[in-house]
Amino acid sequence: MDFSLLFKRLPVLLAVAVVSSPAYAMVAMEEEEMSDVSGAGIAIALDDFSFSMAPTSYIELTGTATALPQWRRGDARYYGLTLSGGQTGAATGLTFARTGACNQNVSISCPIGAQGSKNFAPVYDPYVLRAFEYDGYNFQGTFLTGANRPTVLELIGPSNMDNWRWSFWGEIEVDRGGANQALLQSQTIINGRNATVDGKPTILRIFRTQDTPAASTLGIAYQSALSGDFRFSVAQTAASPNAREMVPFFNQNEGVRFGNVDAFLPIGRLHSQAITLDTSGTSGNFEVRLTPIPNIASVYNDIYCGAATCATTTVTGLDTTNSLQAITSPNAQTRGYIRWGDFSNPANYTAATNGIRFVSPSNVSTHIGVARLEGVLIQSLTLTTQGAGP
Amino acid sequence: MIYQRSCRQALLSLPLLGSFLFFPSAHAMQPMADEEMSAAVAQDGVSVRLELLINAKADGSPMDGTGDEQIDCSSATDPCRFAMEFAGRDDKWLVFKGYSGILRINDIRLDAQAELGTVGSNAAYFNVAKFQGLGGACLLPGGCTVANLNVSPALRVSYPDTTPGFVTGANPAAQVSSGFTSLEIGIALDGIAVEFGNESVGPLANANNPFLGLNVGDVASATAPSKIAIGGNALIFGF
Repeated sequence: MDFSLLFKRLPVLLAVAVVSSPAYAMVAMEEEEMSDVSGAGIAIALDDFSFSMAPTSYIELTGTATALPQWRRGDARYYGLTLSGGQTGAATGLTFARTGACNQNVSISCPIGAQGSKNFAPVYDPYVLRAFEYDGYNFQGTFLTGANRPTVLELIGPSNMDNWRWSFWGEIEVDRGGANQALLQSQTIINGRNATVDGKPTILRIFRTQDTPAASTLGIAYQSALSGDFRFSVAQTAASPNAREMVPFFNQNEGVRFGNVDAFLPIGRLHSQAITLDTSGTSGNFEVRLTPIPNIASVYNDIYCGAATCATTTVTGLDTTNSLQAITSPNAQTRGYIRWGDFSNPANYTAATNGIRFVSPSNVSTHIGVARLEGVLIQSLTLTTQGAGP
Repeated sequence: MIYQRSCRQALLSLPLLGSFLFFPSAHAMQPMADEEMSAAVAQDGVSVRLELLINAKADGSPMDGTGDEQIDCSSATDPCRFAMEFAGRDDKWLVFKGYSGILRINDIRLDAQAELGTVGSNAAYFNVAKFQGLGGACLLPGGCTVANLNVSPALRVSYPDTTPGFVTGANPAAQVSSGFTSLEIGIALDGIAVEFGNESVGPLANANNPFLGLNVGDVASATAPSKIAIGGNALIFGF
């Protein structure tokens, strides 16, 4: 596609569009036209990207005074939201005040990267918005393939990219203007990327659910992926003003840290489980629902095992008097997990930058090891509004 | 407000564009030769500035009824509000009181990137599946290779480089952030409250205390919008 020619002609094309637009009415597409999907899409690459809110700028949620004696007014502010480069080493990191010390060799010591994230979404692996088709079981257990596959609109993130750094500093205030006024300032830093360690991307899919025609509705499936290091800290240096609305100088070491976090949470499965929106009852309530996994063997075997049948293995734990049947080969596409630390090598469970630890201002680390949740698969989830009135 | 980085060409072409907009029926469209188009239109890209004000003055502060302003957000009747009534909840209103806002997008630039290869810095990230269609067929004209991607063009959206800075001060108002000029967002919402009554009463009522407010701003003053610096390029291409 020759874009240069397009740009040269853009104003003329716009003028023509403005002048002539009333002449063309919208024309409905036929099903056959829509099914003519090739997978072509629009790619969006983000190069050298950074987003920096000034350290003095904020988003504030304000509370209100209350007459109840056991309650106090609460206010929260989030300052200096910044997405910047995750590089480490000399001349890569800054504090919120742009002055003061932080350890530039540690990924979560400096809250702000001095550069942008060079390959935030690489031109070689960009965000792609496209219409696509996938094989899969529908809600009734029919395997849809070939021409029967429904079209899905999807936004797929990069599988591989440079790390970025996300940070903000916050204020939580209690009883503003009252006798018990108190303030806590904190900073939050994530140095990571929105893909898993093994390269599973973030994906949002929108489609028409494959139910009976009368009950087809908007369906959403979302795959969340995040990996990296996290730090939450509150200690400030002696020179820090430690006052409301004043940009603090945080200690460069202190905080609770999570190293090598790896999180993957797939919600929904094409074409047998989806997030749907619906009314509830007749009094104006609504529900947001992750539809239950259909009680059909071919469907739930696909979701749990990725196969028509689910092989199981007898597993015996440390207590050898008990055993259980475990799925031999779980479906990795539907099995979510959250790992706080790298589990690939037991020798690294308490490595200096791995897992969960509390670090003092003088950089003394108390390591409590690694933790993980495995096999997260939501069978069904329904959120229903309930009015208090009739 | 739209202006071009190449001012000479902008001055030449904008009146022409204006005549198209105002007299669509008086002039028949005339075909242009390629040479004419390449000389007269935005081949150097365009720069766009967008400003949106809701119940706000030019500096982002809420309207206060002074000057030519018709409304005063701080008056007892507070016209700067909106209310929602949900189906089946007759005469019960969720009222958003005292809201105003400003959004300024300063100097966002639209341009052409002649070759992606000049910004692509790490070919190890190449993910061929992103450019393949159904059945694995390559959709990139010229082939699904790094070399071909490197010579492909794209639409580029970018901000001019700025160098954000900060100067400490003895009090919040004396602290100065500088260089955060790409984007300004200011939102004031005094509070959200539940009020009762029909549509001529409920939305305007002040019978109940608000329970949550929202502000987006800067400590420089009570009405200053937040300031944001954006860097880098967004490259958009189809295949």
